[in-house]
Amino acid sequence: MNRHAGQSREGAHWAVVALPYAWLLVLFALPFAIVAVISFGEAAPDRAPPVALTGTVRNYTFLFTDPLYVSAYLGSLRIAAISTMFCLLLGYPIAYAIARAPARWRPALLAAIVLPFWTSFLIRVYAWKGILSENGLLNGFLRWSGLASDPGTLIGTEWAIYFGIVYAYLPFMVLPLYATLEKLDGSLLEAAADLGATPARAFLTVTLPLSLPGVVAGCLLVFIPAVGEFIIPDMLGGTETLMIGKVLWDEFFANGDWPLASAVATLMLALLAVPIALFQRLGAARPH
Amino acid sequence: MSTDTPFLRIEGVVRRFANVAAVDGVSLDVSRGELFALLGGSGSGKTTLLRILAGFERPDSGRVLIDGEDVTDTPPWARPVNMMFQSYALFPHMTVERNIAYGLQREGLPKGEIASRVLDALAMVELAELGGRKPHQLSGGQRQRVALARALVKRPKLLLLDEPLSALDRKLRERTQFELMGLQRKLGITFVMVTHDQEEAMTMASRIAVMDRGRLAQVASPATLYGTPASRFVADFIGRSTIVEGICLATSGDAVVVRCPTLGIDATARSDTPPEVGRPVWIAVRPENVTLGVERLATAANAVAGVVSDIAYLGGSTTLHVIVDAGATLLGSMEGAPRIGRGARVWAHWPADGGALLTK
Repeated sequence: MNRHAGQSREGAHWAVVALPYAWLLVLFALPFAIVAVISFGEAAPDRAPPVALTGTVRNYTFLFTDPLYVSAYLGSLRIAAISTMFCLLLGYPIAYAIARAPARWRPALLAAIVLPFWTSFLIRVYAWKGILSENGLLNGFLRWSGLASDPGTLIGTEWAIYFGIVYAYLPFMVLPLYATLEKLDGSLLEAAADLGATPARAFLTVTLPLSLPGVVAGCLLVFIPAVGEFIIPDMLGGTETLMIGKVLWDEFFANGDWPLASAVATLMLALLAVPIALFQRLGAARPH
Repeated sequence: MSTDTPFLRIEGVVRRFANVAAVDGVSLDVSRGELFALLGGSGSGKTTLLRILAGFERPDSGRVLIDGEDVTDTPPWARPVNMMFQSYALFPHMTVERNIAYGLQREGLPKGEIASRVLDALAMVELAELGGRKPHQLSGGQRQRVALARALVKRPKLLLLDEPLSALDRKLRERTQFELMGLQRKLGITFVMVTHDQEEAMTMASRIAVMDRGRLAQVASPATLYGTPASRFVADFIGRSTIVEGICLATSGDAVVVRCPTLGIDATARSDTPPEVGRPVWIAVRPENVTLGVERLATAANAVAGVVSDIAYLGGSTTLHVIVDAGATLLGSMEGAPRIGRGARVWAHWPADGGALLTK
């Protein structure tokens, strides 16, 4: 009896441990392996799926030598990095203010941060199109208020993409930052003040270093999806802004070149793995 | 009387939170080199008063002067005051050395001087070999020492200690009490500490301010607080005593006769300021002043008969609860193990100066 109960409990224990691994295996590792294998094939439009597995590395050499792809990769990384920086500069004060707000206001303030998620992502990006376009809300306001009689057009520029990404991903920056800042023991700041630190100095020497895990988490949560972002550059950006997500889409759906599209995706993952590993090492180096 | 201005002067300080006065008009002088304790229960305002001294709270009215200088509007980082926090508030991302160096770096001292003062501070608290550790790698007692070193390394004029020993276990706490006192004597720095533990305050402090609901109930030396409490609150808060109500019947010199219905006698007590005849007063009797016996002692100024209801053996002494025939419960004590059983009829006696006469 007892041994039976023990065995079934052990079984349940293993099931709990195995579940996330099974999830990752079936929904991440396996599909990725398929994509990786396809990336070593050649396009075969007459087949279904349109792939011939030849084991060639041609797709990769092509990606590294074709200036279009190289600039698309670099452009994606640059736009994602700049957007992440804007998110951090904007998100940190927001998270700090919420964490320092009276406890009874915090749930409402956090809800306000999360509230946009209740509307479809696509619709919200589309709304930015309306705001930023030639005769959109922003320019209308600028003309009406007399701040600028002949404002330029933001839509179709890289700035429009920054607006879109920062708007869409700001909650992912604010939430982890809030989580670390909210945990920060207020008596540490009092101790810093007591030992002679001005508020600015106390922020730099105590608050900022102790919130670094939140900074790292927030930056990863913004940077990674921003690199592969497709909808925002497609709807707000212009033709001259190349981002890898858009290239991947074109390769897959317009050209029907599955192997090349797979190579684009595989290389993107490899490129992202490097900053993730670096960031996580940075985060792990700090206890608490 | 010396004509010196006091080292720390608190003048009519009031601090309200949402219309409730946490500190309600406190005026207090502390001399240079004193080890002063603010003693009170939770909500007595002792911690708020300490935080006002540190600069974390601004008084709604009143002034704080340190060494003759008005610091009421001085922010915490510019005050010649350092504090040891109850939680220690050590910076978790810094080593012990960097924690201690933090305050010196803020003063912009040269690197060499910082390093040597940090080493001195570590040696002072006997943690010389742990400078490279992070706070989470230390025991509670070691953290307490780091917090102390971090505050003292700044050579403050005034050191504030918020429940400095409350996080330590009993044995370590008792040892640390004496270490703190020794350090205070050696350095000559004025200490103001907050504690809810009356034994700790009695052991360590040269003077104690007992606080009750934001006001000072009494400010005196430990011996005065214990021997001649100013009010029922103090008599009850400091040590243990039996407090019985009565009416002042007659006075003659410093002797006061009080009719106590719950004792069933007219008790005699002494007071330097005898109350008016006819007004309600209280007598507080310490257990160690009560002599218990089976026979009535003819010489005792006060004697009541009763039944032993409870016995608490404390090792060195025994405390007995005696229910007096007239209704009051009187605490008495005897040395060593109990020699009277529960339910025994006894006589309880105390001398005229064995009870403190209280008028409030």
